[in-house]
Amino acid sequence: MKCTHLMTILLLSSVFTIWSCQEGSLSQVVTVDLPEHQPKPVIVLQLASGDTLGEVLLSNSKGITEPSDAYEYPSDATINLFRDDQLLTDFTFNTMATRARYSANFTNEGFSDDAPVKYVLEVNHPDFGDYTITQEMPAKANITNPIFEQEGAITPDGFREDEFTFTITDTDPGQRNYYGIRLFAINEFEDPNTGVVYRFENELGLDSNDPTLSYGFNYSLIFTDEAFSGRSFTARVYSYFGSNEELDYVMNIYSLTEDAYLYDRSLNLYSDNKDNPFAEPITVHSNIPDGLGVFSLANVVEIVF
Amino acid sequence: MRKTYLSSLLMWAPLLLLSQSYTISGYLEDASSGEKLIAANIYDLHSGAGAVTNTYGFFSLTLPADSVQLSFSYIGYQVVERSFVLKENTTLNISLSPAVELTTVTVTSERSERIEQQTQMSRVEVPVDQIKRIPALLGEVDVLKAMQLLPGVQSGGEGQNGLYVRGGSPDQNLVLLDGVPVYNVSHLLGIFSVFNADAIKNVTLTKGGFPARYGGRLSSVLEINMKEGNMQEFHGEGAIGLISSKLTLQGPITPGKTSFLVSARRTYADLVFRPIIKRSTPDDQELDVKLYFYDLNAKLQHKFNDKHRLFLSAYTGADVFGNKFSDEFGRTDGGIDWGNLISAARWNWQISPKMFANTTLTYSRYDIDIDFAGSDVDENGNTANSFAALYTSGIEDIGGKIDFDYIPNPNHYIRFGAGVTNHTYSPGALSLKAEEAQEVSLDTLIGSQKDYGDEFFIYLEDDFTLGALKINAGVHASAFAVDDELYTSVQPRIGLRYLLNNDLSLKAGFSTMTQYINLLTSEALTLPTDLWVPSTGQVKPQRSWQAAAGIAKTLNDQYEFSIEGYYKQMQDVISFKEGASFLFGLENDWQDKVTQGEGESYGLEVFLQKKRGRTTGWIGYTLSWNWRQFDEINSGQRFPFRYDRRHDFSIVVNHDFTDRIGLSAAWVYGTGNAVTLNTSSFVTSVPNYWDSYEVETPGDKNAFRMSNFHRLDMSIEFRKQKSKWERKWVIGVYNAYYHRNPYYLLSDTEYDFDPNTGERINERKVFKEVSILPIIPSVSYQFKF
Repeated sequence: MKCTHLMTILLLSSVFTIWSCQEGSLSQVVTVDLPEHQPKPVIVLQLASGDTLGEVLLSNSKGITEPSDAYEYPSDATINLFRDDQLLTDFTFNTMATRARYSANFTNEGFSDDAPVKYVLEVNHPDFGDYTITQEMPAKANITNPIFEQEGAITPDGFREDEFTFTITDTDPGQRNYYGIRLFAINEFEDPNTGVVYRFENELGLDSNDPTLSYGFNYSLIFTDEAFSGRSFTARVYSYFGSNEELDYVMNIYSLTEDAYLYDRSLNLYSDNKDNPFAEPITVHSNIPDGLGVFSLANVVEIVF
Repeated sequence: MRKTYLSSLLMWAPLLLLSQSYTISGYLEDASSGEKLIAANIYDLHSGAGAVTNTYGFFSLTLPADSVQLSFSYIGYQVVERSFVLKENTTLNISLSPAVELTTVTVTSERSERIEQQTQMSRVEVPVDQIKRIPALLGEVDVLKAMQLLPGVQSGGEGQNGLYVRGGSPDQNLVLLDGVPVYNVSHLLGIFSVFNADAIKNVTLTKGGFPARYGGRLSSVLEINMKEGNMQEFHGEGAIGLISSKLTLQGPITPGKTSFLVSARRTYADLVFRPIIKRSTPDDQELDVKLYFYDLNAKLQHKFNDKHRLFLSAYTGADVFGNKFSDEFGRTDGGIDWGNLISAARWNWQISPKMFANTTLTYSRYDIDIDFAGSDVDENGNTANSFAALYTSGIEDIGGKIDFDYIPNPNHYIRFGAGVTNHTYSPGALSLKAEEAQEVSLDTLIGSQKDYGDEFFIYLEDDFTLGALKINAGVHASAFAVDDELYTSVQPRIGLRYLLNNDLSLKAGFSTMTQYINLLTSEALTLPTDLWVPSTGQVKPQRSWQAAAGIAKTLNDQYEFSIEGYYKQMQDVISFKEGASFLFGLENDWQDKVTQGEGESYGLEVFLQKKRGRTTGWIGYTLSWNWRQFDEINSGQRFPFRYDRRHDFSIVVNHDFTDRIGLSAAWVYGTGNAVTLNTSSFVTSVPNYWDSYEVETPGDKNAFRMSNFHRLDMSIEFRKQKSKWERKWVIGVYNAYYHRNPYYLLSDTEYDFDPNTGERINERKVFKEVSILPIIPSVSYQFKF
């Protein structure tokens, strides 16, 4: 075959290939016949020790193509939280309805960190139905030896970042425990005119090279004690945000109920994969019978670096 | 009564003595290369009796002492005839010469074992020469993609080489390379197969009606045999393509006694990009990227004498992805490697003219490593802190088996044998090590420990003739010992063929199968990280039974035609529990994340094939249904399997216009894949988010369909015979008329904007199909000497 023939064929093929790869040419809108959707109730309450405000979301699911106003937020539900079978509080509909939540205030000390304590959430509504969900407050994590080192970590991309390490000890090797981590930068300044001290907390994202820790949704990182059952483990995490020596850093380490852990992990995986066509469809974890959402608890330990 | 029998026997004794029989045995081989010819035909024109060569080219034909006129034939080869008086056991090693291409040499097709004469149904053999002609993506000849064009075999996603045979999943295919199971058959996330066609001698796919000698998988057996190496002359062939190059060399070490074959293939994306990356990296940093795959096949054959032969074969191949970075502050190194190592030693022993034995020792290993290591460097350039993580997973087999062929007379072909395989499963383990200021702060191993299993089997089958009826009956018995559990299984098999006339036969088959190994994988995409795991005390073996019936006919001595209907039931097939795959992690035992259920598939397959002449190819059509049911999935309701495909149609045509120009085309059409779509949504609240977060939830499993797909691939060859070698330019185009075949379906939000203000005034949810492979041209240069 003559070289010119070959070049001509290749040139023509390349032109066709480039044309067929033009923007938008590889996707097309199609019609899909969807079945009529049967709404399910949605109940969400996530409480952590120290919370001064608890909020319950009560809503419903809708068909994927239905408009957003298909979501209902009923205001006439009865929602109670029981602690060891005693009514702890009821939740009332928040008339500042932009968030459409039922709320309850806890004492100034916040939601109790006593553990183990059984909590039961009861939701009753004439149209949505009656629901009872139980959770047990987990014990606080046993944390020691917190260390902060500026630019102490090296990321997989080769960058230096601030490193935070702490040691966590598992004291009940037969029990699977679940944890979440969040980091805050604390900025306080005093108004020179009034002398009032203002405190700002900015949450910083966390990452780790240690595959024992994985990403969460509400919590920056989550993990279980599978890797160090009955032993101590030094967790090494880092923040991508540049440190400032004038700031304090507070790390909250949460002991999570299993439902809290599964909900947070599945929600994060849903978030990560919702646009990934190769991922299996992800059903976000729920412990609401015949419904969606979660009732979960967390017990927090605060570490100041 | 007893006296009556005795007197009858005495009366017939002289006659029995007169009809003394002798056995003609030997090998059929290619005259130029010495390659053994598989399934070649031996036919006595006087008596009408015949035989077929086995996988090693051996035949045995027992005939009465008399004059015989034997015809030796094989598709694509000139017929050889031998006439002599048979008065003793005779050894005949026959060499057949290839028919001269593109001439009108008549090959005695009517004397070959034609499709209607074979007992075995649901079995397809595609000549490697045809496979190499089929237009291929980026010009990379792909055995598995060629198999996807056969009826009863579904492809996975566009461009993928997964095989879904009669409703089965990829792990239900037993892929054998020289008799050794291959666990990972893909490179580059399933785009290319690991089999280098230049090193392959023949490919046979069995989809049902399994003879007793096969076992261990539910849905198919894909046998791929490597070439043995030319015993007579040194030869080579190779190709230079867009993404890879390959070279195969073979020849005699001792002519007529010992031969070798070596074949290698490697991609070169990394070699192309490495200088570019190096140029774009700052001087105070180092970045090294690896991105390639390779295959290496080798085989050694030694003929001790006419009765003993030894074959040593090996394959290794891997995908390598990685990057290494370092600067003044530290270094990181990570990557992912996966690959197979396969080796086999086979000893052929012709025990007697009527008995042939093959003993095989095998070793195979598939593993994947994902590693990351990082370390800091202090001001003195010493390593300060370091961290290393290594995830490993894989499977390792050591096995042996012995197979006997016993051919007492032309009416019986008895096979029996036994085997044992020791499996070592490593279903995922993560080792972590960290050092801080020279002290170990973490050194642990997480994840499953190794599991061990021993698999045993024995089998017995007989292919026997009763007039127009030919039966292959047998039994395959297997056992699997794992943990403290011992599973056993007795699997009866039967295949029937009834000749209606010289060209037409009815066929039927029934087989039961048991599988002790599972692949934990996503339905959407097969990845190298998928885990091979055994049946355990908690996870039962997969089982199936399949019945098939059909007709087979040869038309005009040119075309093989068959219609087959089949019904298959599968028990204890495995799947991730709903939503469990994403929770699959180190903190969970994989057994807790899977569920077992049932599968059902049925359908009809039509196949018309032409194997020789200027025009070759086939037409295949499949009408099928494929279901799954798991108590813990889809609320226990039955649902279509992802690759349930109502219609699947393919046409493959190769045509030689002259001895210098040939055209090939393949057109496929299929019903769209079943998919699960998010059908509803809800709003959830997250403590630290002021806004609500909307979450979509999936509807019924695989309740929706992507659009039907169709595609035309074409290639043209320009060949030229030089004085001592032959060269070939192959120019191809994939998806020639550019049909946007859906690879996946997703939901998206589209917006309407006010034409005057540009403000968003409306939004709506739509579904979009996305295709990934447009028109893709290819060119490769091939040579042979």
